[in-house]
Amino acid sequence: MNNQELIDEIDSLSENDLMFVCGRLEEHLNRDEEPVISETDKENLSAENKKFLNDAGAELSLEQEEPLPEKKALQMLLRTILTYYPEHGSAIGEALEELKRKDVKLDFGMSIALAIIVPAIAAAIIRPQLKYSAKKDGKKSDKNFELKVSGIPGIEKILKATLPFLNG
Amino acid sequence: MTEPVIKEVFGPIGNSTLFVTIVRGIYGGKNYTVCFSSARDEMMEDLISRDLPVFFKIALDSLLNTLKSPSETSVFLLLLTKEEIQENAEISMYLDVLNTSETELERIADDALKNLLFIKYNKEINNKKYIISESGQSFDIYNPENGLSFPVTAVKHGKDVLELLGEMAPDLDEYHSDLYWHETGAYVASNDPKKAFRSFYYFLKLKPADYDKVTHEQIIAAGAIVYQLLADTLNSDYAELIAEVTAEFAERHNLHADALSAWKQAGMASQTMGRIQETRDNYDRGLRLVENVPDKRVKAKMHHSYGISMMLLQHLDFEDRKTFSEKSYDEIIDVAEMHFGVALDLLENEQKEEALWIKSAIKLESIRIAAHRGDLETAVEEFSLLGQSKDFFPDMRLLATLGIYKLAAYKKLSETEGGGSVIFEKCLKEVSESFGDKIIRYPDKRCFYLIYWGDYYLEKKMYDKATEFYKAACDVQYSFSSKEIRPSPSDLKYGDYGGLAAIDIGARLQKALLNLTDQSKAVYGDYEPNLLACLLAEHSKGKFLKRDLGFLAVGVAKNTGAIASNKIFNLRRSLINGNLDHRIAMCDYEWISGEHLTSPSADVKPRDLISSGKFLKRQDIVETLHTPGNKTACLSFYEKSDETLIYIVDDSAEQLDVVKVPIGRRDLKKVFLTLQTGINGDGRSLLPIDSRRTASRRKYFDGFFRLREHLEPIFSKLESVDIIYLSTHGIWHNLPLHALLYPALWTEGKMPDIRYILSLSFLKLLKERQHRNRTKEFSTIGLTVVPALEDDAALFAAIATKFETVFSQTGAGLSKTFGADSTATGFINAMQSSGIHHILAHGYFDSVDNPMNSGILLADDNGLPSKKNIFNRDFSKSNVFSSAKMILNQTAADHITLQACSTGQSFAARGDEFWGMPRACLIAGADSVVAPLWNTDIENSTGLLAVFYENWLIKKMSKHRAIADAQRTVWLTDQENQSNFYNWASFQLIGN
Repeated sequence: MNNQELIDEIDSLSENDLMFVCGRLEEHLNRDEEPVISETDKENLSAENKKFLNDAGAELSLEQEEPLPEKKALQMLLRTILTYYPEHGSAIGEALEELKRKDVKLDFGMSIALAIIVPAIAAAIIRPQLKYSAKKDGKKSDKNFELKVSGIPGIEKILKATLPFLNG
Repeated sequence: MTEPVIKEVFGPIGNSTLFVTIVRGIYGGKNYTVCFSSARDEMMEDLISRDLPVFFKIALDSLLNTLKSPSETSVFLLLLTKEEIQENAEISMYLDVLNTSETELERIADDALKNLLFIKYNKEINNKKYIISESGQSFDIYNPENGLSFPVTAVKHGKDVLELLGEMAPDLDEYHSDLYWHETGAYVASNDPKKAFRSFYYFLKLKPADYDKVTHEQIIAAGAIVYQLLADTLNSDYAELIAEVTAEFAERHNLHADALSAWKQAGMASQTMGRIQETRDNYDRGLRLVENVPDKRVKAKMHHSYGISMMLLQHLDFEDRKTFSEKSYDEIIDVAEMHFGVALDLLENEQKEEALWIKSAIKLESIRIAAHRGDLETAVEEFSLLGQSKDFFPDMRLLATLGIYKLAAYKKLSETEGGGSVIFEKCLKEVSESFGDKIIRYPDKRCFYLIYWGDYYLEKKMYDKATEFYKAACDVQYSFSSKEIRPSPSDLKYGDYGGLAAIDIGARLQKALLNLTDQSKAVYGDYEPNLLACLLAEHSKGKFLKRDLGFLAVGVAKNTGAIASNKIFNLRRSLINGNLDHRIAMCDYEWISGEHLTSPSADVKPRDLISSGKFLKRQDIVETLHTPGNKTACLSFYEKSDETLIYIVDDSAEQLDVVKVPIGRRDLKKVFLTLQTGINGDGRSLLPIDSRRTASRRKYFDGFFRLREHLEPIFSKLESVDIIYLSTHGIWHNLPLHALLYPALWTEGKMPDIRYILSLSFLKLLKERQHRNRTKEFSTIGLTVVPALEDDAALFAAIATKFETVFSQTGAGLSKTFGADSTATGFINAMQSSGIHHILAHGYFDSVDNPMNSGILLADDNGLPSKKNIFNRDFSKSNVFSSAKMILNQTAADHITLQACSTGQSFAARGDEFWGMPRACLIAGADSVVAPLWNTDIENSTGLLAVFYENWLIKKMSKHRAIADAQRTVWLTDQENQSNFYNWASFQLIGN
């Protein structure tokens, strides 16, 4: 399936299925990271991701547009990834295949917190493309490093698609 | 008439619940034989034996008056109750004149006592005369006009009887209130705490609101006396209930100060058992009343006691605090400090002795709090000065506490400073000289003291001395824990237990024993050190589970009357189900069952079986592990704070090896959580595993697979073993050990069976039950299949057909319920008629509130269940057939397979108790359960289980070999991919 076909398929998915695809994509993007198990570690990581994305958004002077319904926002995010970062298409394709297989789990359904997953996806995509110039200013400040962002069009798009999920 | 002459006395006869004495004598020139019979207890026996001539006379007067011309050759059976004896009232009970041999007498008397009417008094209701009678705790109403009698429980007699009962209830309650009140006094006087507990409890429960024969103050005072009697004999669990009911009674009558004191006692009792949340709840219930209590001293005592209990429940000085989070721990200290502050404010200007005592106690605790917060050197200095201060109240208990606190502080100091052991040794000797005689007076302090000595000798590598001290400490701890009747409630905030109960003294003793140089010399009885260590580990597992199985293993003697038998069975069921307060159910059970219980084997007393099991002997191991034609071994895991001990014992019990695995509780928990997260996801940021891409979760499984390296020394010892029993402990219960062991053994060409058991004692009880109750033949296989509303029902139907096809080849009948027909009622019925039962449904494991709420989703009258209710944690609508319901309804199935997500998981806490669905199935009657440790998918699990049944039921492999072979078949398909264990190792076979 090429990326355009994937985009078409994503447009036909339910919100639950979109969440599933995001879950698998996040897992794929962070496959080389150490497992995060404790609640504290998870919270810290999530906060770190959000701060990074907010800082990057501020650097680019991005402002949140009219908020989309969650389903639309997820479609937008996945479409953006497929458009600007097509190398992640295979992971999305595998998730879609898994959905079609309809493996019935004898449990009570899956649960995904988009406020954690979406920033984790965005941070995993954007982080390797940025150069940090961490510059301690010597004073107590929330922002003690500078983020240099420029020249990569996908970053801005991804950040825009992620903004609705950052404050959840 | 002249005084009677007693010629011969026979008895008391036998050891039944009945106290039977037969008297032959002359009265009025004629020979008579009278049999006195009553419920057996020491007080009754004393009274009857002492006053036998008096009773003989009263009895014959009564009989002669009734019968006019009794035969000399007859035996007169007289049944006595305590009331008649205590109050020396006229004996009014005449039951029968029996022409029978004396050998039959005891049986007849016993039946009579349990089943016949004991006429108590006449009653006129609605112008009709009735005779109210009692049999045990139930009543019968006898109408002399028409000769009919109605047992109270006979609801089938209809409305008239029920109305009559309603009218009579107050009279019956009053009658029994009198009885229980007098009994309470008598049992307190005879120093029988549990019987006093039972009588007082029933007195308070039955007493009518307008009962005015004793004052409220007398009742509360009696409650306090019974509490003290129970507390002094370490019956803390019973003490807690008595304090609670007394407090509630005092509250109802606005006696707030009394209620406050009783709640304080309830808190102290809970604290003695190490139950942190329950202790807090009891104190907090008391503190609600504090505004209504004007007496500052009463209030101060409450706050002081609350603080002390909190301090006693923390156990910072020991490494064993396991599930305790630092946050909860700090909170306990903060709570203590806050209450000490309030107590001191309230006592500011008080100079009475009691106030000075409290102030001294608080000072002592304040230093300890400072020590906990890090200022050890100052604390050590202050402890020394405090003992010499004239402001310090020189009370024995306070001095003992001071001694223990000094030891705690020095121990900690010694761990942080160089040359620590010298500092500690000096302190230990000093404390022994100054406080030793005081410390040993208080069991809890004595226990800590013994542990410190044991620790000292352990560090000095003087293992024989360490063994001696730890053994003594273990005995003290056991004297507390053995009297705990209720399993501790799940306490996710504070952990299972606090204080003394939380310290793993058994682990210390095991360490000392295993280090003894001469392992061939028996240290206690005929136990060699390593065997004793292994049995200590085994004994510590599943106290209440063993008790539950014990209840099922004991029988009721054939000559037990019908009513008594019925009551014994009902109480036994209540104790296992926990649907009645365990304490009162246990007391009733002991009261009614008396000596009626029988044991499956001659060398085990029934009482030992139901008191959490007996310490095993070498011969027990041999018999329990023996399986004809097979070489058997048991791997017993014991999780400690710093390592795991694995005992390997074979079926001769001659060879016992110990492997120390350097992975402790905390690391093990991390391995388990990572493994579970890797498979089931975390419900927030990680989805469940994809069964076709298991390798993608490899990083979550690495920690688990690293355990294999630690288990390496085991494999060589299992080379010739056909059956491996895994007796797990703590976190090990939830790890798929077979996923590590099988591949290693299969690769070497070995094909053993692995069977999970909870302990050797558990296996022994299971085998005993099998011998007693089971036939291995079964004619019906049950199949229950329940898709959820959200599922593809056709897929479930196809799976059902697949299993049906396999089952149809076995020759057994099939009892199948599918979908909406699989209601709880249908399921319960099916479980009564099938020898094997397979359940395909959605499963739920409750690790948050109560693991016994875990279960399977069934249909109800509205049709199929919905997964959404569980997902949203709306359990009232969820229609979960819980573990508790499973036990309640029992099963005839010898084997149960739960093809339902995570139903094989268990919650090991609360005394390594293995809470969850497998426990429920085993207690309900099954001998084995196959259930998954994680969320399985329907396709994989069906494939595996179909092969299991084919192997077992068609190819006639043993059950264990059948599942092992099915698992191996799946393993072979992708053996290079370790992570594929997800697809073959999810199911665990538990039981025998």
